[in-house]
Amino acid sequence: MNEDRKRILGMLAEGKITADEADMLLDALGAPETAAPVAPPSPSTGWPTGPSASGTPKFMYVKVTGNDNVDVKVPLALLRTGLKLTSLIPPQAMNQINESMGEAGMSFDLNNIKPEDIEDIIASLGEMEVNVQSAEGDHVRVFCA
Amino acid sequence: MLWPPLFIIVSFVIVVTALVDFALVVTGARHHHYTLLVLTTMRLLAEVRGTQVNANHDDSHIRVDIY
Repeated sequence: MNEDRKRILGMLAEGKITADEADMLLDALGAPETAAPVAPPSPSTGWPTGPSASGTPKFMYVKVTGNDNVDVKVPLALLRTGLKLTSLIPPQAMNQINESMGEAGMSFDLNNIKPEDIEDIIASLGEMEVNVQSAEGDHVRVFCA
Repeated sequence: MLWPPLFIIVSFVIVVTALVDFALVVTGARHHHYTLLVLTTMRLLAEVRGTQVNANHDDSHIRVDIY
């Protein structure tokens, strides 16, 4: 029997506390401690902190810090293959896509993006950096490295 | 256990699109790249590998890693 239990039982024997109070105290001693949720190790600890100064960027990073912490890493190869895919879409379907994008306010023709321009577009993304500071205190950074 | 049915379905789709492309070539259609379209779409799915998402809030932690 540990010291705390002995002390509670002693207080009960001396009449300092009632049997119900002793029961509550003993229950409290036996209850497992509620551990605070522990955040899993962040995968972003090894990520670059800014745009790559040289070379072709491999990933696009989105980092949100402040009230919420969000880290997103997307391979730029997805963009490369996605742009190549647009050149294989049948013309009728492509026209419908362009019309829908125009209605949504994105009026540019995907047919104008040539496969030979893809590498230049991706290389240019290496110099891109977006920094947004919200009124709520969140800081959003978008860059490629 | 998802791979065997997926493999069968994908193989079937490739055979069908190859036949369609062959028919389109014979008829002289300008666009006859449906097989390539299917293969590039699969490559696009494969390129998703490496995507990581990590979101931490006060009481919730979300982590998604695509290998």
